[in-house]
Amino acid sequence: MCAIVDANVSGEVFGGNKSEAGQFFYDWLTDTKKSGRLAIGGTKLRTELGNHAGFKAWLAQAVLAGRARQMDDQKVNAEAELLQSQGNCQSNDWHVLGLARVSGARLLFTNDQNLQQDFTNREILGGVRGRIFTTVQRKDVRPAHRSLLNRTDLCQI
Amino acid sequence: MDRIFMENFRCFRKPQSARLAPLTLLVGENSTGKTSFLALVRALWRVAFQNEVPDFREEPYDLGTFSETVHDRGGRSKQPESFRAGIEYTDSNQVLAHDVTGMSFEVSFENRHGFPFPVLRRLATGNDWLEVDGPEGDMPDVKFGSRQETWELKSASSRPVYDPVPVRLEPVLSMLSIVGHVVDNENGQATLYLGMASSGTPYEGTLTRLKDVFFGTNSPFGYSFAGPDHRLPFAGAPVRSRPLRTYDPTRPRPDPEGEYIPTYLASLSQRDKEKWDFLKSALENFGQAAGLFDEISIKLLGLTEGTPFQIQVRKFGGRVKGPWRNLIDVGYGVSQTLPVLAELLDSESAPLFLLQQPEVHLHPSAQAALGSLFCSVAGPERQLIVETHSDYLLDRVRMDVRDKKTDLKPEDVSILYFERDGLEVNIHSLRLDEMGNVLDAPPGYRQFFMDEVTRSIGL
Repeated sequence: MCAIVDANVSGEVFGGNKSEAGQFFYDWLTDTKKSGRLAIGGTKLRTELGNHAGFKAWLAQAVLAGRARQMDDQKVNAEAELLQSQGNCQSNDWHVLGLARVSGARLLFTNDQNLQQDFTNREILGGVRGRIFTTVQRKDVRPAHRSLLNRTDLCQI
Repeated sequence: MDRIFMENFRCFRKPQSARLAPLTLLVGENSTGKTSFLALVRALWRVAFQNEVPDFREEPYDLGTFSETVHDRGGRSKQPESFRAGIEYTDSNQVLAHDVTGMSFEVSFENRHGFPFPVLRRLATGNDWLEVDGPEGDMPDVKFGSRQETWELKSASSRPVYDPVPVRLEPVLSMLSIVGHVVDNENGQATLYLGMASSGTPYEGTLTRLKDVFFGTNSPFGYSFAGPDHRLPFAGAPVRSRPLRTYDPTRPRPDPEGEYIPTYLASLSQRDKEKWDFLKSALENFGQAAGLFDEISIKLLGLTEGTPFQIQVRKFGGRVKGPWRNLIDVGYGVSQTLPVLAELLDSESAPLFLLQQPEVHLHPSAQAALGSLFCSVAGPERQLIVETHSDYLLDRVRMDVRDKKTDLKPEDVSILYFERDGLEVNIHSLRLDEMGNVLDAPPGYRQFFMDEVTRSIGL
């Protein structure tokens, strides 16, 4: 199953601002006996996450291990521009939504509430409603976190 | 070769297959059967395309006797009496007869005088197949057929004769054309008995088709005629011969450690200037990309042919050309890579390369350059099967495919992951997509590396 990590929680997942739920998410992405995969693509998100040293080190190995799926930056950028031009989003995170549309990933770890609304909007993502993994209210691992990462239907790639 | 399959061979007990591509990379921990795999590919090449009894003790892959080659379950379990392997071949040029685009070859090996000997061989394409069971010198049992019909030619003699050459298949089919009469069995099979020539028999159409398909001029198995390629695979050893300060020319004779390469290069530089210039330029291009050297030359120590010689390389510092240095005086990586490079870059070299850890002694940047070189030389005419522990090489291949640096497409690369499972090994066929993503990785793939990075970033 594929997920997207928003830059605002990258420290919780890849170090610097660790949380229990972030570590749980990291383990899901990294333990090769689990099914987690990360979708990455688009110039903006790649640059934002690329500023994080822990993420860069992780990505170099995750790509070889098949745990990260890189998408065509140009396609993601084009999709983001299209979303921006349509003006239907409450957030300005068109690059994250564009990546979801190109990759088919329907699970997002973010604490941005406007982005959460956009990501769960069927019309924006094209039919399938996205799901949110968040630590806005609590940083510990909740049953909802476990339930989300056990799902197998939130990725089309 | 597009696919290889095996059963009861070394650590590969259960029947399994692996996808082969123009560039196939074998990865996995030590002692997971990667070198055995290379040995099997070479053995199948010899028996399928050259009708030879493969020598499983041939260097650089010495697998030992039959009992060491067949799977051993350990404990008190009895070893199997045979092992089985085969290949699938697709005709990318669409030149096979009868619109055939692919065929398979399968062989069973049994113990003969302590060593594996090919006994039962089976060729198949679409619904047509031919099976020959028996060695040269004896009348083999032959079966052939298509989807609805099976024909069987019974051996006239049960006398076991074990000549060290397997029976040639094409004459067997010729012999079938003089089959006399057919007795139908209740189950739809038929037994053919030798007799007078006859025509118009119901199996004649199948027989003609089989002959054309399996033994026509364009068939890869048409070794009784002029097959498409009779060159041997190049099998490279992980440790190449030590460099010498001065070489005394001998007759170049290929060997896995590349001892012949210096003499070959010296000979080429004297005899065929055009080809030497091409090879020299290709070597220098790689040397520059890998940071190993910028220029290479052969220094003859006399005026006559066959004179002793030295191999020299030099690097450039900006616009300044450095001094020539003897091969023995530069890093070991240069001399260790030279045999592989010279073979790969030679336009007339083998159609199949089997390489064991070609990255040995190379700096990561040179390992990556080697990956690029593989991408540039692998293709329909030259298949590379490379056992490697180098992430740099693997990653460069992935990136070059993604960035379209060469003509190599994602489907032209196969990554075979050898995973230990108790006393056995399973092979997983991984693919690349157009973005260079690794697909079909099984659970556990590269767990060690993920654990290391987790520790590295302090999580």
